[in-house]
Amino acid sequence: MSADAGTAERSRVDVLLEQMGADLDRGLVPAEVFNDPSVYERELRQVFGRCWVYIGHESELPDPGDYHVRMIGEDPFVFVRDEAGVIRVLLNSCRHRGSVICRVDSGNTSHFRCPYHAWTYKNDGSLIGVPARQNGYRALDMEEWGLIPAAQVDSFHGLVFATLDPHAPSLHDYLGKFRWYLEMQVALTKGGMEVLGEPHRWLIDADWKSGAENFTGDSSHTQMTHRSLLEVGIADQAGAGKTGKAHGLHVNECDGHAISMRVLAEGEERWFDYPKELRVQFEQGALNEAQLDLVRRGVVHDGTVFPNMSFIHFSAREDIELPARPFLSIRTWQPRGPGHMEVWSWVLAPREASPEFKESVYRAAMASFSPSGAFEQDDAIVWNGVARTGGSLAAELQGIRFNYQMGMPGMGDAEPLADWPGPGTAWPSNSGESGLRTFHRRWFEQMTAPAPGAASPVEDKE
Amino acid sequence: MTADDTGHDASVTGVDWRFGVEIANEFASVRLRLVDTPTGIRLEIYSLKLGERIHLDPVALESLTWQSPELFSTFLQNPLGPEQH
Repeated sequence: MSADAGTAERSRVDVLLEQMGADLDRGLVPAEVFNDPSVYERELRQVFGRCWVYIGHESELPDPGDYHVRMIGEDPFVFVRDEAGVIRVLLNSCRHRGSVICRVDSGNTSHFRCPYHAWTYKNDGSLIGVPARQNGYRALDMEEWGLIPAAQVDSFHGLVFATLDPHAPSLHDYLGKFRWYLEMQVALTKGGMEVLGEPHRWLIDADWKSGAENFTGDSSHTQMTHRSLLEVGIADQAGAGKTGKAHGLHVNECDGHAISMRVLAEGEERWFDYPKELRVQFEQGALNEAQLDLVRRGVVHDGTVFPNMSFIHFSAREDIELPARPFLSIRTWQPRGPGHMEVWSWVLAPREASPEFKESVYRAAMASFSPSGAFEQDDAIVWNGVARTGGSLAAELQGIRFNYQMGMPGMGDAEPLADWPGPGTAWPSNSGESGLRTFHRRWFEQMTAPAPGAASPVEDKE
Repeated sequence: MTADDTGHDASVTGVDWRFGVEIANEFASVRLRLVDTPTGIRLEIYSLKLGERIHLDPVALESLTWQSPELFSTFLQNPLGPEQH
């Protein structure tokens, strides 16, 4: 434990959270949570130290020995497929003296060899080689000194998650009812989705929560932040379009996760603009009729798995002369210090799609949701401002709170759907911020949760 | 690029095996080249970092094809080679 950033510092976070607890029911969130060193330190421990965090997709590791360096909070892990084909998530740190073992982002190897003293590990993490062992390390128990795996690793339809908390619930329970909505993104065909190319990464002077909350269903920003894209026709009004009741659906209170959907009227078809040969496969896939209906009518689905993994299933054009292409963008909002984040973004397509189609999908995604994409650049600009205000002296001294009241009782005209076929609470309108409130409620609960295992002590398996 | 029966593409083509080819990842780098003997040919594997080398004939090379990954872990028990500390 970093014992002591000081009692005063700790109590400052506690006071802020206490105030937030009182304000949340009114749809208010203190500005400081978007840029404050003590809040940041607390959330690294409470949120990223304890939640399931997205690591990567199984298709990024097609062969034994393939590996990528990925982050849990600010800690680097090696996401690797071992020689037996098992996917592992191992702390990127030599057990000898802690030096970083993988210095490049990606590669293929049968063994990891530390650049400091050459301790050598199989790609499943077990220690197999120590220099001068007979002269200096004869009694070293090699089995005790393998690379440290994340406390739990599991996957859902190819999406690999890990957590540092051995007491965390299973991934199945953590995703909870939101699995129903994730299936519509990643289980469309029997083969599932495949990552195209490498992830793009870029830095933004904004807090990770700005991206995470936005993707839960900040529908009303599109008409302002992304207005130029609608005007030139890169995205159309049906997809990114007007607020109001038409085709908008927000689902919140879904085990801490939330999704926003724009769908056509009942009986109409859009399929995110997927071509006919793939639609046929969707109909033969694993989705039930209610899920299939939301895909059939689907124009855009975007959501956030708490804390920092978001997705958008969408279609856009590489060029206004070219047809719109559907893609699934998965992104993580990685914390990189108070008021700073690193965005990681992957493009995915159904594995069964043709190579030519995948190429066009990738290009359409690059033109919209990538560091060179128009949507992405728009968002970075406005999110910067949130962090700037969050870190301001005025925010602290004047107790500034941000407003998340859109669509609340007494504010909005929509009521939750009584006959919604899926889990969670569904609102037949996108004139609301229910998903963002769900996100901040979940964040607040995580920030104020008792210490791991404190509620129901469990013996360490070791 | 050409694909073999494992479905893998060979990204290195047009290699002049007399000069050889270097392959590397972030943990090791080796040069492979063919060397003549008066009556045959061997594959030389040379460690660019450690300076070790071995000449393997087709029979020895063939024997590698049925070895397990664990055997190579055994080879790496001394990660820097026999003379190193």
